[in-house]
Amino acid sequence: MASPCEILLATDSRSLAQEILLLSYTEAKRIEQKFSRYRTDNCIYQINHSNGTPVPVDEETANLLDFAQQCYQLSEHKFDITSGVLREVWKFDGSDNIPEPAAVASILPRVGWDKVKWQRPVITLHPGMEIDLGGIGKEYAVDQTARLIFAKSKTGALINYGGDLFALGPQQNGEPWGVGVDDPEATGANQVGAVNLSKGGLATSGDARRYLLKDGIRYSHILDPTTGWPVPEAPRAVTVIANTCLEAGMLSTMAMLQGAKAQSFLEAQKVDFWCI
Amino acid sequence: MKSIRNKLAVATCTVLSQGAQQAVATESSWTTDTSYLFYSEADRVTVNKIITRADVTLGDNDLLMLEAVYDTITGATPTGAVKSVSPVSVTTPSSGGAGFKTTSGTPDLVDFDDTRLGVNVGWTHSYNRTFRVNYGASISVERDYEAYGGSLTFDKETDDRSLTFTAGIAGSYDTIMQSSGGTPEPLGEISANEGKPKFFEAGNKRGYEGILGVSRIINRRTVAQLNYTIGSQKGYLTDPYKLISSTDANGIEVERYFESRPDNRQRQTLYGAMVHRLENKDTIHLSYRFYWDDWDINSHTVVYRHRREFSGGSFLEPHLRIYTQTAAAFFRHSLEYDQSVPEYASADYRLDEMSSVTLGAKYGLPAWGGTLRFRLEYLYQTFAEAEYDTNKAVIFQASFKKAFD
Repeated sequence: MASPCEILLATDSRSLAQEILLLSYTEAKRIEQKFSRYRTDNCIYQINHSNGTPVPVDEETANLLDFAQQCYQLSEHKFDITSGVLREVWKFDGSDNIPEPAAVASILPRVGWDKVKWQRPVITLHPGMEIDLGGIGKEYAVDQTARLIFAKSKTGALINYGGDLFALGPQQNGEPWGVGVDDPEATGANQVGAVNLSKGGLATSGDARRYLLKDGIRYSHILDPTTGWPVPEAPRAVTVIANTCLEAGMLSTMAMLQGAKAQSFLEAQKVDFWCI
Repeated sequence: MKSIRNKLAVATCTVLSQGAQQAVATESSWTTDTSYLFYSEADRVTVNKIITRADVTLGDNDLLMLEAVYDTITGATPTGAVKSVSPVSVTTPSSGGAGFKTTSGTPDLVDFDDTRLGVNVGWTHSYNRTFRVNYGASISVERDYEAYGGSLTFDKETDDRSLTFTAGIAGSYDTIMQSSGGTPEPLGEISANEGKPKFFEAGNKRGYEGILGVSRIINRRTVAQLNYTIGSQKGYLTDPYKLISSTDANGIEVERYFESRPDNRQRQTLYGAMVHRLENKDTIHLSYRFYWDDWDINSHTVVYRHRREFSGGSFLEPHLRIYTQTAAAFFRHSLEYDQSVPEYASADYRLDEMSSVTLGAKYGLPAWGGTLRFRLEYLYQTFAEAEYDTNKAVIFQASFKKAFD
């Protein structure tokens, strides 16, 4: 998952802890291997290198593609798993390397879920297009792991995969788990909020260290797939609490995509959130 | 702005409840680790060793460890005597076949052909979440050496488990003899009594050891450890096979004696280690050990290991070990024939001033549902005064570890 993964368990039983840890590790590894776009041995690689030929996918991948399609519609085409190819021109390395508008425009024909032919269970991409489930995978892994742990034991647990969390019941002393919300300007060093979580999901979008700065304008790494350009006035970080980690993750990502309207978007959803 | 929350909640619920083809993960209650080790010195000793070990989890709080070691040692090792042109008659085993005899024409070397069987058992019991006790016992038997040992170790962790304190004691009782049965008179001339030097019955030695340690998780990536060990050995600490020559002014051997060591040894060790995971996920291990005893042997050991994990579960771990030691107070290359014989003297190269370098690597990969590991090492030792002033050895080990339900 390319980030620290942590599971806190409210139990005295070493064997149960080992069992749960092994279960979780196996599941996280499975999802990572199956859906990572950095691997060459999975269905994502097959789809991205299909060169226009139809690729049949398995049940689980189909469910995730259905979900990505619903998110695309719910976000009014702003959440788009085909937007990854924009990274060919946008390198968010803290420099002032803003790409030429012509270069951005030349990528756009290869972006857009509406250009994808998705007829469960077969997906067909135009040559040069790519899909990336990275915006879903980590949260999905958290929720699936939670499901497996719950099926195994009713012990309290907190699953934290790189800042995307799910709590399955409180700590041993009955207290909720304390979760700090990082200050994006001082990751790990300073916290802007604290949440007590005993049940439910929490996710954060945004990375303060990934941006471009030119002529005093800060370009966030949140790209609007409809324009190919960074979403103006996007918050630096959005943290959302919801029923599941996946839901929290989608709400925080979609809020970022709203730019200046992130705050009002989140208020309309009637969820607990931090918008920085 | 409109709320999409309900629709999103339904979509999320759908994708999550349809779920995954669930991975099968079960608790492992058995782990076995079997390895074969080959150690070969240039023109000298060869050791073949088979080690098999099982770790068994019994419920929540108990872990049982069983280990068996079988090894054979063959080849020649220096006796301590000087290289001489005309062999002097040497003791030979009266019965029991091989075991100990000097190589024909080279009494400065002794041939070994022995097998050893060792068994170690351990039981770790967790009395609560942060306190556990390990009980250990070991037996090792070969033709000319028997060893029995026991240990008791306490581990106490702080509530947040960032700090672990260790305290332990260990004791051992060994019986030592030549394969023919007895131990020679210390510093007895081997040609005495027409080649039938005086022998005593088997020697015994007792060992006691205490250990205090602390290990601390410094941060997510770093663990540090510090141990202090103090021990004492009493009894027959001499090696019944080792010899020392007396020589004339030209270095020509005049007589040969069995060696003699003090019957008491106080030993202390300070050991520090650090394991750190780098940003690129490599792991480095650095340790330093300082050892000193009242035989005047001081030694320093530095070990560096660097482990890189590859996708697919394989890893490569090169390592470097550097070791130096000072000589024991009673170490001599040889005695002067016209001087009186001292109370203690040994020409055993292992008690000489020494430095050694070991360079090697370990490679592991998943295989047959377990992990296969290979280790290859090269050892180079130099000695300041000993008759054989270098030793080179190659070490190869292949291991297979597997967990069972």
